[in-house]
Amino acid sequence: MTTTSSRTVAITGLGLITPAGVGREATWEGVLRGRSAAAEDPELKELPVDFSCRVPYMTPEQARIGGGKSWRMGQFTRLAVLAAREAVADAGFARGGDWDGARVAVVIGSGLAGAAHLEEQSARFLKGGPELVAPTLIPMLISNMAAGEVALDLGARGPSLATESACASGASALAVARDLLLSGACDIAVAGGTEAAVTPVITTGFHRMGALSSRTDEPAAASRPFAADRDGFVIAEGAAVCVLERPADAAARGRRAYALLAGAGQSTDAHHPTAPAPGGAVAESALRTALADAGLAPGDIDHVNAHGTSTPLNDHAEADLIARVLPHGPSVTAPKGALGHSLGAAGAIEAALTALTIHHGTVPPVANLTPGNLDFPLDCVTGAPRPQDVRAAVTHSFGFGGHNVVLALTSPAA
Amino acid sequence: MSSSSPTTATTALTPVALGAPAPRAGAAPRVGAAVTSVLTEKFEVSPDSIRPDATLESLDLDSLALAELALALQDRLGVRVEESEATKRTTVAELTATLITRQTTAGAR
Repeated sequence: MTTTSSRTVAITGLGLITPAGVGREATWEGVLRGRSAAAEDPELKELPVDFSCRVPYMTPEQARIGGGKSWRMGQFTRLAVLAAREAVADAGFARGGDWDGARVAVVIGSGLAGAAHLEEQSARFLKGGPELVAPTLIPMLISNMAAGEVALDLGARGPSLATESACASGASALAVARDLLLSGACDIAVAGGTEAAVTPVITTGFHRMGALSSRTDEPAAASRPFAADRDGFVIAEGAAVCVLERPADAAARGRRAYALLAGAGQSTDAHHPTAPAPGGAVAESALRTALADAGLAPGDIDHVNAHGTSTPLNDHAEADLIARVLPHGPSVTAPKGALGHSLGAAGAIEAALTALTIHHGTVPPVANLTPGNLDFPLDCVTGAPRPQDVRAAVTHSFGFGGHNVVLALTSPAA
Repeated sequence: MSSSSPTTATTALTPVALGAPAPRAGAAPRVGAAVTSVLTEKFEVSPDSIRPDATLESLDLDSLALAELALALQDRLGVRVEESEATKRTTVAELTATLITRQTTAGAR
């Protein structure tokens, strides 16, 4: 197995808000149940696709931003701030307290950022003219504001930025944050992804391009990664934030890592704006780069946390990629079966779930997938969680634009 | 969101407390309640600090918040709020009085 290389960083804190639950533990328990969170969505009523995966009701305490700041934040920013607080507390830091803020970086990706607010304010503008447009539109809209408000909330004064690679944005954030740590630009990185763009216009846009499942009669059965009868993804919202540190720093604080982020690989299809290159030909180089970066051979990979969107094209290309590069048959899961596709948040959510999979020695099942409807020669986990001692795993993220990001995670116990 | 205590806060903003001219019956309590609820619910201002002589700046409202406050009150009450009518130095009583006058005028048309 691997030795901890100097290019490895430790994941010491996790914060999650997903359709499976509010908080890290609720999300993990929900994902282990292997049931889809998709349901009819009152905000999408009477649209061609009228269902989604929403974050469940949050109590006022769970939703509390506090300090009289919530009014100026877009919903994607609120989710990021709440997830970042959970991650930082989980890593054992007091918010804004016991760290050198100048050495803390924040990198938060989002695909559509404040599109929901632009949609709402556009409607007001068309109805009543410029005087009805909210003064907060721009701060609620711009995609870097999740990183900005998280940094402000935490007193993090190191480098900060947003990553935008569509449905790979959250994974890009983790790759960039790891590089910031490895370059010495920071000592702690707070990194992840966030999305809150389940709106009538955005959902219709995805539907019009043919990306969404149209299983309106049975929403909970709609997201079915790698199933023969899959017909598209289910739009979702959520956020995940990870705290990254150098392993020696984490050890000096007496913190145990959930997992190590050992390698990252990034490539671009340069093939088509929205369709993946057939067979995952260029995604393969991202996977191989991640493995090489982590000092791993393909045969070392025990587990794949797949992008698995439930679209015909993605799952086909990704299954080909896994079967070709990892022919020894690592276990495969695809969280979008349970959570839907939270776009720019998904890559970070799935990296966090991969870390929890390694930490707990348990692989969550793919919702709506059975051995009978599995379309590919993959060892997909179905039905129930599978106990497995995962020493090394990869998580795939692919975004419109042809962006491929693969993260390699290893067990801190290895 | 913090829960406000609307009864107490509204009482503090009656026309008598504000020294406002007596407008049409019903407008003042409604305006007072709207100001209080926007300040407490949207901006999370403590109900105790919403006193008639409190300036908006003293309630921690910055310029972006003032612009957003004006729009929120406009949405709530259906009357226009000019930028000059909700400044950092404007007091709660002045803002409320302006809104009451505006609403009374609008209602009389």
